[in-house]
Formats: sequence, structure tokens, C-alpha cells
Amino acid sequence: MSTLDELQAQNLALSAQLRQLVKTESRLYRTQRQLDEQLKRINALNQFALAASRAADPVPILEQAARALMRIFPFEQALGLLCDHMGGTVTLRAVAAHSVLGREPHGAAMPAVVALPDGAREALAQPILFTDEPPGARPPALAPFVAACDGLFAPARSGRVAYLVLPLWRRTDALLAVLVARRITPAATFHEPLPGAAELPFLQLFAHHAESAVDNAILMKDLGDFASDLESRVRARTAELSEAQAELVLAGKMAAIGTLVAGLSHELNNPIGVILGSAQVLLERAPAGEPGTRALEAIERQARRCASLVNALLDFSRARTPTREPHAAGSLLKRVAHLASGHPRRHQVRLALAPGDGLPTIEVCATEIESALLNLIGNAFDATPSGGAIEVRAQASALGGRDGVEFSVRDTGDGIPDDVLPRIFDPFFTTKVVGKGTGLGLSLTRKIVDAHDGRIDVETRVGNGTTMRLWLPASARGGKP
Amino acid sequence: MTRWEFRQIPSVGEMGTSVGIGQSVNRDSHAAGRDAATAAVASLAGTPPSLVLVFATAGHDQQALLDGIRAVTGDAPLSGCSAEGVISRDGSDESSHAVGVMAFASDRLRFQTVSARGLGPQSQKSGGDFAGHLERGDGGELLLVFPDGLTLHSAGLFAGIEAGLRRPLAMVGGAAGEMMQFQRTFQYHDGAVLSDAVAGVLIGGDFETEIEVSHGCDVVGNERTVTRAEGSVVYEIDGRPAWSVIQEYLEEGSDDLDGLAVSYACVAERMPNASGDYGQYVIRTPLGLDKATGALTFPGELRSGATIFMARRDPMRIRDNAIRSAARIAERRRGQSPLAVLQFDCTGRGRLLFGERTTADLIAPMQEALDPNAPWLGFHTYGEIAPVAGRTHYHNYTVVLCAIYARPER
Repeated sequence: MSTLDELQAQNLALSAQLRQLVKTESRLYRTQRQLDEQLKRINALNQFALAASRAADPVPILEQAARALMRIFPFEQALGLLCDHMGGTVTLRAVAAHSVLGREPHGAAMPAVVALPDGAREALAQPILFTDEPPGARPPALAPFVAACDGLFAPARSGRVAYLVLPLWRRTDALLAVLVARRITPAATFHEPLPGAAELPFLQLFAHHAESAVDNAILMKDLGDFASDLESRVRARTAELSEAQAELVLAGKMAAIGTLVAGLSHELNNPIGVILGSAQVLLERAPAGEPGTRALEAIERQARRCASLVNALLDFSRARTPTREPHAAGSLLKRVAHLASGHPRRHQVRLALAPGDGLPTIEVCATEIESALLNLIGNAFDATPSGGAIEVRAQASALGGRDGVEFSVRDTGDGIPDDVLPRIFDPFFTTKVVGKGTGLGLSLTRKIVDAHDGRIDVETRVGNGTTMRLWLPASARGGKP
Repeated sequence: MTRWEFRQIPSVGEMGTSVGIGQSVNRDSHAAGRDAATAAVASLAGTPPSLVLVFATAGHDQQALLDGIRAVTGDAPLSGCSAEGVISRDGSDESSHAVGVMAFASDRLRFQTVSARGLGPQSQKSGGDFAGHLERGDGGELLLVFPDGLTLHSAGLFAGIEAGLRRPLAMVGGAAGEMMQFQRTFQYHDGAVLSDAVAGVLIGGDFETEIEVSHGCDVVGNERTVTRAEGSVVYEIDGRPAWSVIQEYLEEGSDDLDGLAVSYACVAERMPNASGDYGQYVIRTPLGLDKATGALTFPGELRSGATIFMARRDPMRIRDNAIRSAARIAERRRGQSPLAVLQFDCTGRGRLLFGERTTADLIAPMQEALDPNAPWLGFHTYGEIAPVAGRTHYHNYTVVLCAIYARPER
């Protein structure tokens, strides 16, 4: 073999090696390009998975999934639809929409509801890719669903539309959500091809991430709702228990007071009996109309009142049902006014009485009601400065569909401050100076009113007086005395 | 049938030259055109544009895009073409819906848009018509040309244009591209969208240009000879079907000239006169294959008897040569800022080669080397047009930089 032949042989061998090197280099470029694409997808997937893992609500997860799908593939519009299972019916609520078309991303306001037709659930077993070219290429079982989704997207200008339908499942038994992506402009670029069969494994991986995130968010949301419900129930129960505890403490206190009051009342009964008996004996001998006789009458009346009060205290402590009889509300009011007639002179306060017309008969324990009204009037005198006025009225009034009578005691005093108002009916609560009030008056009054199935309320403004209203039902037997 | 059109805008007072750039990625083509034009015109300080250059990717409804632009620019002369990607200060955008608009307003420059229809075997005649209606003047002259990258016979077109010119001028540009589907490209002439045509604009007046051309390919293997060629079709290389020769350098199983194969099938033609900075080879890439005969179509045209080599891309050399070419322009102008820079860069040198790093590795360093602030617009082409060693060539795998400068006061 000549040197030239040898050189030619070497040249041929080197040329073959060079060709091989160029091929290898080409393969490396191609592989690098594919790896670049894979890396881009994996980065987008990771970003989505990270963002989705931080979301506690399925709606933002579907929004992020729609955006991620469009970053990875050249889709132009994407919808996220959340599944609602109502019995055997499945509906999908479009809750997320994203578009790069520079116009309205969807044609309908979110959330919009799309029905999932029979048979579609089975067709959604895996990611589905299709185009509308040739016409009718969309899977028949999904055609109505896709058509409904088309109605939510901005309208397509061209006939060729590429679709991706990506179902998200909780394991294999419950459809959680569906992502639908479209491309409506004519073509994707060489560098940004639409996904094909080769991308199905990646799409399944994407779906798995989205499924876990949506499923977790739904479970977290359910758990959160349950925890919130539990918390509010615990709060309500705790409040009930606190109230019960307070009532229990109060009941114990009242029981102790009741024992004390019962003992005291029992002890007071005897001297009052002696005073009353003595006054009655003297009255039998006293000439009528004499000043001394009127004083004895007052002693006898007040002794009776004391006896009644002692009985009331015994009732309060023993929860004894008092005897009730029909009484004319007007007469009762006049009697109370008479009993209170000494107060104006003492306090230099004007007392006006206004018994209304047509007052109904009330069936009450007169002593108790008189006592209650005297309490209100007494408080009014205590609250009204010299020169002020107190008006005591009675008028027919219906409440809750029942006829009745409303007694009101209005003073021109300073009113009740806001911090005091909630406690005025508490037993032993008083703002009066020590020795002047027991703190039992309003408590006892309310107890009397409650026992008569009535109602008591207060209207007050600081610096502008107070009106106490006491309503009692009319006698069921009717009639006017 | 060949048709020509032209438009000339007279100078309007002393105002110098303003250039504005606008871009949009809106998918609504009319809105994208309107938005990009509005942004470009905003830099013209209220002066109506004298010229509008447009490069847009082929996902757009091309006519709606131009309508959107002209809704803003009115009847201002417009030229440009569809592209595989748009290049701007923001880098390279090879998505389906990108558009870049460069608007000029000047009383120092004259702009005359022109177009001719019918390339392929008629390329030479169309070139003659194209050039025959150019109205030449004094001062600097630059002819921007944007032919259909799929139907072009470059040698014929250039011969026709050069024959029609009464005296030589610098010719640069790029062949219109699309999304590597190799189906149809678009050329823009005023408000019309054309195909199988050449659009262009003659710039005349008080300016100077700097043009640089570079590639980064290395020849591999032995010298080869084109043994049978006709027009843009090469039938045989070294007496063998041309495809079989190229195929030897492609991956096993490559049986078609798809987008990826095109990016590797690269041929270097030795130039008669080597250029110092550029080198001695012009790069050619086939864009068509007749599987039955193994014939390949090279828009850059290879004549029978031409000496060629197979060539490989070298990303590092591509990058280094491109940055050096930008730096050479800056060095020659010694700190003067260009009015505008046009970049015509091969489709195979964008995302196909550099992936997501195209902007960071290639575009941004070039811009930094030439001028960090000059208005900059370009596109990824199906072929680049620029002179080397005094003669206009059709290139592949190449970048052409054309910087336009105001003529310095003497």
C-alpha cells in the first residue's frame, strides 16, 4: 500500500470519526434541549407544589394549578372547577380562571356551575388531550361538559381549539376537581409544543400533586370548620356552666339569707302582733275623728303593713304561693299613693297621681303589689332632689297579646348610670348610703312581678330621670270592679 | 407577477432624528399591534413617524396586527416581516405572539418603502423591479430587505437588485421566518401583508452605518464539491445525492429535514475573498428536502462547482464572535451612540441552541458591548443578509448587526 493510500485510509477513518463526533454532539444538544424543557417543567411543578402546600383552601390551589399549567404548556386559558357531591349528583363549580389572551378570561361570572353529565365521570379517569380538528374529535361522553366549559371561556376566533382536561381524584373513588385548559389561537411554536401522549406521565404527576393539595385543603377546611364549631359549642357550654355556677352561689347565698330572714321574721311577728293588737284595742275605745284616733289608725295600718312585709319576707324565703284576689287597679294605686303620702312633705317633692280610665281588674296579692309599688315610689323619692316631681300612673296596656295594666313611676332625678343599670335587680345591691337601703327592694319587686307573670322594666337617662314600668296581666275572669 | 410599491416622506423642518421602540405579547393581534405602536410612537415627542419597522412572530393574525399598528401610525411607511422570534432590549422572545415596533421620526433621513411579489425562480426579476423604483439621493444609503425565507432564491434576488441599482449600496436584512413549520412566511409593506415577496426600505440622508457579521461554525471533514445544482436546489455533492451526504452527520434515524435536523445540517461555502474578522466561510443551511431524489433546497444557493465543507456549531465561538462584532462597532464609533441598532440573527442561534439562556448568554452581552441604551430591534430569521468583503451574501447561523449613526458634524 502506498503512502498516499495509507493517508487516504487514515483520512477516511478520521472523517468517519468526525461524523460520529458531530452526531454525538447533535445528540448532546438535543438531550440538553430536552433536559432544559424537563427542568423548566419540574421547576414549574415544584413551584406549584410548594405554593399549593401552603394554601389551606382548594380555590387558590386551583388558581395556582391553572397558572402553572399555562406556564408549562402553551395553553391560553384555564379553568379550575371544584366538585360538589350532592347525593348521587355531581356538579362542578368553576372557581378559578386564568388567561393570557389580554381580554376577559371567561364569559361567565365566577363561580359558575357546570353539570357533569352521566357517563362523564368514567371518561374522566385520566388526563385527556384533544383538539376540535377534525370536528367532533372531542370525547362524546365529555362533549356536553366541554361545551359548558366553552361557555365560561372567552369565545374562540378560530375553529381549531386544543384542550386538556385534567381530573383530580381523591384516590380513585371521589372526583375532587377538574382543570380544563384551552388554546384558541392557531398554532403553538416549535419551542412550545402542546402536550401530546408523551407528556401524559408528567400530566399525571402534576395531577397527583394537585390532588394531594386539594384533598388536604378540603380535609383541613372540614377540620377547621369542625374545630370552629366545637370551639363555639365549648364557649356556649362554658358560659352556661358559669351562669349555673353563679346561680348556684346566689342560691346558696339566698338560702342562707332566707334562713336568716325566716328567723328574723318569726321573731318580728310577735312584737308586731302585740303592736297591732294593742292599737286595735285602743281604737275600739277611741272616739272617731280625734287626732289621737287617726294616729292609732295609722299605727294599726302600719303595723298591718309590717305584718304583711314580714309575711312577704317569709314568702320570699319559703317560696310560698301568696293568696291572690281580684282587685281594681285604680283603687290599688290610690291606696299606694295614700301610703306614700307622707314622703312628699318630707322630701319637698311633688307627687302626682294619674290613675287612667278603663283599667282592668287584676288578680293579685294586693299586699305584694302595693309593696312593690311602694318600693318603686320610695326609690323615686330617694333619687329625686328637692323641688322635683314624681308621677305615678296606671293605664290599660296589652303586652304579648294579653290585656293588662301598666303602672309607671317617673321621677325627675339624676337617672341611673350605665354601669349600675345591669345590677339594680340583684339582691343586696344598693347605691344608697349605709343603713338607708337593704338592696332587697327591687329584687323583691321583681320577684313579686315575676310571680304574678308580669314584667318590669326601666327607662333611664343620666341627668334626665328614670321611669320604672310594672305591667301586670288582667284577670282572666275579666270585668271591671 | 411582480408588483412594486413605494412611498417617500419629505423632510419636515429641523428636528433631527427620534427613534422609539414598542413591544407587546398580547394575544389579540389588533390590540398587540396597537399597543406596540403606541409605545413606539410615544418616544417621538408628538412628531408623526416617518418610518415604522415591524417584526412579529407568526402566531399572530398578521393583517389584524398591521391594522392595529396603522390605527396608531396612520399612513406612515411601514416595512418588516414575520419572524421566528423578536429581539429587543428585553432579549429574545420566541413565543407565538410577540411583536416589536421601531418608529423613526426624522428630517435628516429619507425613507422609501418598497416591495415586490414573486420569488422562487422569479427572484432575479423581482429584485430588478424592487431596485428599479428606488429613488436614490445624496448622502448615506442603506437598503433593508426582508424576503420570504421559504421561497427565496437569494443569488437571483441579489443579482436582480444589484443590476437595478445605478450604483452600489449597503444591503442588510433578514429572511422572514415563522414557527419552524416551514409553510408560509409574511412580508409587510405599508398596510399590506404579503407572502412569496420581498419587502424593504431604502434609508437615505444624513447618516452613517456600521455593519458587522459573525457566526461561530467550524468546518469538519474534507473539502467537498457541489457537483449538480440548479437555482437554489442542490442535487448532488461529490456525485452523491445531497441528502445522503448531510444525513451522514445527523443522528441515526433522521429521515426528514425537520426543525431539529435543520439546526444541525450545516454547510460552509468557501468565499473567494476571505475577510479578516469574519473568516473565509459563509454558512448555508438547507430548508427543503425532496426525499425522492435526495435533492436539498438552499435559499442561500450553492452553484455547481462550489467548494463546501460540512460544519458544526460551537456555542462558545458563536457567543464570543457575536460580542466581539458588537464591540468592534463601538470601538469604531468611539463613544458615539447609535440612533438605532438592527439585529438579524439566525433562528438556529436562539432558543434552539441556547435554550432559556439566549438572552443572558448572547443578546444582552452584545447589547452591553455595543451600546447599553440605544434603541434595539431585530428578529430571528430564516436567513441573514449582509455584505462581507464588499459583496452581499445570504448567510445562515449568522448574526448581522447594523447600527445607524447620525453623521458627525465636520
